[in-house]
Amino acid sequence: MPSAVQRVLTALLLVAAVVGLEFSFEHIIPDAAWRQLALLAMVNVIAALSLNIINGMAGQFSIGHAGFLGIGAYTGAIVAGNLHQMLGGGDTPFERSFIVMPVVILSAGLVAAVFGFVVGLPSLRLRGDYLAIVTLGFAEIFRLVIGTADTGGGTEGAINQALASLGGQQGYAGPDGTGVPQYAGPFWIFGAVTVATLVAWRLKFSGWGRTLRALREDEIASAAVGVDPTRYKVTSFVLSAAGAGIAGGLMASLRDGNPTVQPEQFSFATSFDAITMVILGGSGSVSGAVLGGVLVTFTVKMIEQLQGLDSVQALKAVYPSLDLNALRMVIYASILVGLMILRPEGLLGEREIFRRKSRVKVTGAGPAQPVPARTEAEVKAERSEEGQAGGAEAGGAGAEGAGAEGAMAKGALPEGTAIEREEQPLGKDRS
Amino acid sequence: MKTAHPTRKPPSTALGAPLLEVHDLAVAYGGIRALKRVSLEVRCGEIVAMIGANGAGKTTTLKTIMRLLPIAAGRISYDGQDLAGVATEEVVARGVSLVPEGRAIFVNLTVRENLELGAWNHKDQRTIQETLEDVVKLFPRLGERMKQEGGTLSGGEQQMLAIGRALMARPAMLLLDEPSLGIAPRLVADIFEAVALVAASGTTILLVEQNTRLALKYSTRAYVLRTGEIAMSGSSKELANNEEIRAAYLGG
Ligand SMILES: Nc1ncnc2c1ncn2[C@@H]1O[C@H](COP(=O)(O)OP(=O)(O)OP(=O)(O)O)[C@@H](O)[C@H]1O
Ligand SMILES: [Mg+2]
Repeated sequence: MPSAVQRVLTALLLVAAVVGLEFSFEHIIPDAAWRQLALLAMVNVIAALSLNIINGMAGQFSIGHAGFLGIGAYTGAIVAGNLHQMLGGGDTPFERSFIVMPVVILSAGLVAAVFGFVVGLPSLRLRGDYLAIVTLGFAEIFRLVIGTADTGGGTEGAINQALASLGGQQGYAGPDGTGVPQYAGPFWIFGAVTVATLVAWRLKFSGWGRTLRALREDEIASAAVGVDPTRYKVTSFVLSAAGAGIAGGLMASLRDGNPTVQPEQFSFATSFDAITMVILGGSGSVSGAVLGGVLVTFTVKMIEQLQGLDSVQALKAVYPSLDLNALRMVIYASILVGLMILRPEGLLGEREIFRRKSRVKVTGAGPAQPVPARTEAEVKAERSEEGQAGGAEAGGAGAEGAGAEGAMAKGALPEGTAIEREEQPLGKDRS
Repeated sequence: MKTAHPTRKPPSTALGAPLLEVHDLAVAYGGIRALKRVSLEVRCGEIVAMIGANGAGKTTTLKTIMRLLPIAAGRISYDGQDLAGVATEEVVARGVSLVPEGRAIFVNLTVRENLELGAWNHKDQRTIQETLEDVVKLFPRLGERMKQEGGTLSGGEQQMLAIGRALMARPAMLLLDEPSLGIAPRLVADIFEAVALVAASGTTILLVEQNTRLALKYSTRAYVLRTGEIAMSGSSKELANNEEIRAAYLGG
């Protein structure tokens, strides 16, 4: 375990790194399109990390992650747009992002978490695949409600008016329609990715993460141990939704990104991409989600770039009926299928790239002590004696109680028997 | 004075008084009645066996006591309190632990992680550590395999792990579902000796077992369950000598 000094130093180093990125990003990546892609990849990593909590760690199957991304994006856009206006509009200087972004991140995460709770509570109480159906339905309802709010009787009633003000299919571009202010530069994006990765890592290797693994394996056995399955699943789902909300909020404010939030950004394809990232990297693996997020983002972009190649354009000229967009999906799907054949568990499986070494160690556990046969009467006599002695000393400290001693007695380990304590706390209520 | 169970509320029930009482219990899976009318009691400090053929409802009874299955009719009370509206985790917290049928251990978790999960309801690190040491003493084979994944253990070792995990909760009452199922005879003997030790240390035990001979040997009293009803009950010695039992369950 790193010492406190080491931790503080690491934290300072990370802060310095993201501040450095904020000011040197344009020099590191001179091309604006690539800069945008790099930032988008990081947002996707946060989306993948959050989906990994429920799909990977908790073993549930949510296929509506786009819904929570969307809720976060709209919330973030509304908050950022209005806050920006209150602060006087105009430019989006770095100093001011320290007022706007914390509010954006908090509100986007919180609103998505509330929706996550509402969606998750009823569906996770039931066993089976209800979550998949409900999340899919939820994401589609969200997209369609926003997309159609300004049509039909959309201007009647307060709720309808509020929804219609989000611009329907056209999208939301801030309160004055001039675009959502783009406060989320490299500092916020890389900072958020770092924090999200650390949080996901801590979660996975905490007692909480271990409880989730147990639940995933055997729900009945977990319940028999005293775990409340519903509570754990709902908590995971709410956390996952909150993470997606934050990713959405960042996406809406992304520097050099799309200044309009549109419902079509949160279609099933987006949910599917998020699932791909998690599965590709390895379900349950934190480093896998990071890897998957980056790989999927860049692969999609690379295939897009292929379309611009001279040879491809020449091919298109010869065969005008060739649909390059459809072809792109075919290539993307083939890559995925190929990878799944080569690595069905995903690139990493459940493993991590920097797996911390296990400190769990039991050295030379003492042999069981010989058990003298005892009649039940003896045991009872002994127990009632102890009972009179006023204790629940079931261990049997009685002089002749070697039988019980061998079983459950305290502190009677032979010399040299050391059971090293795992650094990580045991049981529940810790993280 | 050191106490063996510092974090668990010991049962307020006196030794020899009924700790678990099941009264006219009925349980159904969908429309199918698995238990029709089951009444039994386990007194504090006893080892009580429940025997019966396949499908008699033994597992169903244990699961219902753990509140993993809904009660259709009847009453279950533990330590003087009704378990009707109680959730499984609360039953565990009150001091009842189940060793599920077919050694439902966590196969992808290490032996240590399996055991630690058993102590899920406990917060005191020292107590957990001490309980772990006790379990390792009881089953030294587990101590040698702490880092091994549960799924790589032999059948008998997995059963030891399942029992060890249940003991990590420091239960006042242990429910065992067929601990001998599919295990080499030599390990079966080890496991039953360990169970006897646990009982001797003051844990009340309800033992479900198809191996009638073993069940009657290690228990004080026994119930015979037949198609969802208690067909017979009595002291284990009596039942072992009963003609009908000998013919039906002990092979003559
Ligand atoms: N999930 C279920 N759905 C429907 N019926 C079930 C279910 N579980 C058990 N049953 C039925 O309930 C009855 C009692 O089953 P139970 O598992 O309690 O028997 P058992 O005495 O433990 O048998 P065994 O010795 O084979 O373990 C059986 O007829 C069984 O088919
Ligand atoms: Mg059974």
